[in-house]
Amino acid sequence: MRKASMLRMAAAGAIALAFSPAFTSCSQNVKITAPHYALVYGIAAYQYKPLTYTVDDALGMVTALTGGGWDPANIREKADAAVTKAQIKSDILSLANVSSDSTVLIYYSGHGSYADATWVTLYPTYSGPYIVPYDAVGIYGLDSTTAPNLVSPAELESWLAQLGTKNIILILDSCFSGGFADPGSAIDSSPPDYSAMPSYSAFAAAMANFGGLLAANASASGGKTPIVLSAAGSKESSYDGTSAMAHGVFTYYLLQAATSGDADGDGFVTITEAYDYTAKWVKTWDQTLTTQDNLSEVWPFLPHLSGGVGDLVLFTK
Amino acid sequence: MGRRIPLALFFFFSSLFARAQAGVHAFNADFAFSGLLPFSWGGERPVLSHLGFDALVAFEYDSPISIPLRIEIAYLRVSPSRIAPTGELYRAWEGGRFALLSGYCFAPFPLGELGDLSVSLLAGGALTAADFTSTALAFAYPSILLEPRLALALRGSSAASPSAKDPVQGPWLALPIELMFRAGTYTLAPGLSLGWRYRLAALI
Repeated sequence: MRKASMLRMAAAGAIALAFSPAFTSCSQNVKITAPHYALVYGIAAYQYKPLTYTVDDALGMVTALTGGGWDPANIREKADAAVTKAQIKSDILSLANVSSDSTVLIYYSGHGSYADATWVTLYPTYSGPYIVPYDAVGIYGLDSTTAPNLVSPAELESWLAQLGTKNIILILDSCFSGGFADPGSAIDSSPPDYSAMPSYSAFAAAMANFGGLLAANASASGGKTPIVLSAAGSKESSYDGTSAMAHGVFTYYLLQAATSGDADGDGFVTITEAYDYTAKWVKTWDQTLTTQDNLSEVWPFLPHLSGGVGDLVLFTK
Repeated sequence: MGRRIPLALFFFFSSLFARAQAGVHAFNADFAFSGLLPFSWGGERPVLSHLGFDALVAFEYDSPISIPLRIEIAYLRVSPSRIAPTGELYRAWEGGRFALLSGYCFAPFPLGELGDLSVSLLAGGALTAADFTSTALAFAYPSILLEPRLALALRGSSAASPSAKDPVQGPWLALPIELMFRAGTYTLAPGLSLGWRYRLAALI
């Protein structure tokens, strides 16, 4: 009888421990005390192919961050002609001396570009994705004098490497921005071009690339890398959204994530939760494209995420 | 102290010899469910706890010399970690784990008509294919496992004439501990497992 009782107790203990993940949905009793800094950029008034809602995106992001626990004194927002390559670099390097426990967020909403084979004749030294600051295009678009003002992933990475902290969040609402999201030792199972190839399960990707992933895991240093949340894949466009949204499609749902994205109900919206919420809604939006005549030139796209084992709180509820 | 080691070795080899004499080869299948309390650290990141569980099926060969060989396939799920005051945390993940374990099964302790109680200590390695929960990111990692286990083999209806060929089954309880090597980050996952074991076949 006593043995049966012990067995029952052990079973209850194992089952309680096994179901304990459910308990994590309770609010976490933690106060985030480390300083948070944000650089928020929106460019609509390009001299060539201006955009509509990108400055609204930046303003919306400032509001969401302020409401999400970020100190307004540590948020710098710049728009249009103020967002040059030199200014972005200068802003980032001005945070070189922040404490190592700080978090730095850089948000950018504007044009993105991708230097493919068609660029070889005019711009042979360019390749891959870029973000397009205000001074990277003239009235006739990109030319040899403005092209050096494009910002590549390598340049951005070299500026970010000089920050005093490694807790860095990079959010890009621009075309081809997935090229900035390096998955490191993981594989991103979201395709670079969702319209050309369907997404597949991450677990299937892990099984299909098992040996390569183990080798990548073994060579990973474990150092922190920026967590990048991009609007689109490296071969995809992202879009300015509709008048009803009054934001870029990606940012429209990202801003909703600030209030509705706390999936586990712990009082914090992490980057992973924000990505999950935003990606689901962008995917839903993608499915409506064929029914919207005014968006017939728009192709489906999906947000992407990098960052490995680590995550950071984006919004506190 | 000096005499205890030879004494322990004597009992160990006596047990081995006794089992070899009995000459039992047994094949078992079992399933189990575990609650886990993992901790992650490393790579400039703080030590933070998770919660998790795994569910597994396993096949185990009991050799006549008390050295079992066990193959496990498990589904594993781990929650996001707690959040540090810096705003840092570790992502949740889930995946499939393939493990190979071996060790030593100590001589069973008879519990009358109820059955036999045995203690075993297993150790081994595992490979896991996983994804970070709610993301499209896939990864894989190796781990090492240590599993002390207490198993009860019930005699059931054939208690009147127990023999090595009797079908036996029964519960087992284990305290597994797994050390995962995840891209420069370590996760130590102690847990509590409760399983049920079936003897599929026994050959003398």
